[in-house]
Amino acid sequence: MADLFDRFESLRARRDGLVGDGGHDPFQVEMDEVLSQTEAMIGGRHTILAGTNNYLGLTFAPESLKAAHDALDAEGTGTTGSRVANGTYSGHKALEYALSDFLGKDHAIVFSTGYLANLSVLSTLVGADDYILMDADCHASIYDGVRMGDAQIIRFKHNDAADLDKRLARLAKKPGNKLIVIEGIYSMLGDKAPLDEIVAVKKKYEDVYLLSDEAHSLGVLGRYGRGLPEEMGLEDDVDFIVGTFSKSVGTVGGFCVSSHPQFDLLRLACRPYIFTASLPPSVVASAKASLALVESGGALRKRLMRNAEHLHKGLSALGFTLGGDVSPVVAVVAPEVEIGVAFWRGLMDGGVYVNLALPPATPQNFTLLRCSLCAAHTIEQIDRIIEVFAGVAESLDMLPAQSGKKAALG
Amino acid sequence: MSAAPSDGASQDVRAAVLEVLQTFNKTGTTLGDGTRFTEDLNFDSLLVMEFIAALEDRLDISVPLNVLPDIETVGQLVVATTQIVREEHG
Repeated sequence: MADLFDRFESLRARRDGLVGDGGHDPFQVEMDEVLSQTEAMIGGRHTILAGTNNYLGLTFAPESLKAAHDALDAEGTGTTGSRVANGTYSGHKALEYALSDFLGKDHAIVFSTGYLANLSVLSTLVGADDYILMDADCHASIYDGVRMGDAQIIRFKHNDAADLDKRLARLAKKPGNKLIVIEGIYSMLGDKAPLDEIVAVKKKYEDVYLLSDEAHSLGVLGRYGRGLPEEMGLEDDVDFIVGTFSKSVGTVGGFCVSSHPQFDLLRLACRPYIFTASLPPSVVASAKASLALVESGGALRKRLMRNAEHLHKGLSALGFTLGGDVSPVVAVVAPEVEIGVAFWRGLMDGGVYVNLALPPATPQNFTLLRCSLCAAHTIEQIDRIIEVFAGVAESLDMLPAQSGKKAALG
Repeated sequence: MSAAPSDGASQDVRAAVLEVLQTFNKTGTTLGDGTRFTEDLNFDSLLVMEFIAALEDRLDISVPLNVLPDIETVGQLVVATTQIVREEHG
């Protein structure tokens, strides 16, 4: 008899082949106790967290904790309803005003997660006669969002404005709106979009809009943390900014901002907005408090970049192949999946948690030991991370570059 | 989808599809209009994306992701891409 789960057979075989030996499972990590933004107890071991998206370390910010506690006590544990029914409290509106104010756009909509923000906007904003031109390395939430909608979906080569130009030129005679979709910082390798080149291409054509997902760059780039558009002085050229509260903002939730005068109509059209319960008041309150800390967080951004440079330099010096330039995401490229899993386990045994990222979720089929940094990391913690990386490389017989041999990892 | 047309444009497209596909043919399958991407060539979603990107480069076209779920065979892909070539370069 056929079993309902037979269709997952290849997935099961792949999982069992990689992690079925009972060792640490990279996909089932459990934090027994969270000690701080940068440390937790995992499997009885004191572990440095170098694989969170807590870039500014705001998850324990006193102002945000207090705001969350106050809202929790005043308004309860949840709204039990959708934004369009009973789930919009004054806090949700206040957060939307704060977002549009912070990002300099006329309108903001708050969604229940970043994933839902992309599902909502990308499935709704463009219709059957329109075109999405998306960077091939965009996040799964963008792929899922465009697939939920009716627009024609065209991918352009990662960070390749000339390829985008070529594709837009071929569409120029066709009616319909075109929406370019990019990310400020791409999550796997930490590389930035060439926003200036993309904006220049966009301006060559009619009826072309630009949406940037600033999930990993909000709070990280720009003097005030408004992301890549702020850093490059191109905020007016980005029509829609999508973002999340689950990285630099330190809680959960998503948003989209725009100055399009009709933007609010999306509230009546986006199914993932209409048919999901709204964020609990405590989450909304901490997001708003943390957003203020993001804006005034210049010192945190300096620490974050100092930490990123320190880790990037240290791992480079050991001979590791890194996925991109200096950014808060430092991705070490492993030569194959099995070595990636073994290396990841070695890091866990050494008390360092990073993300193990495998194809197909990675660009160029890379196996990645993806480190992400936090402003709250100390230099001592980063030195320890580098030391553990060196030790694991040695134990797996991947001798570092300074020995005169080629580093086997990468 | 109907059988592949056999005019000049589609012959050129078929030749290009087969040429690019040969570089992705790890199973040593003899390629023809009836070759199925999943069953005969063991293509997974990742390989499909890589193959389509290579084909887009070869033919200088954009293949919308929307058309892919309906394409099971080489012949069906030839039909779809011939139409795109006509639209984008016709």
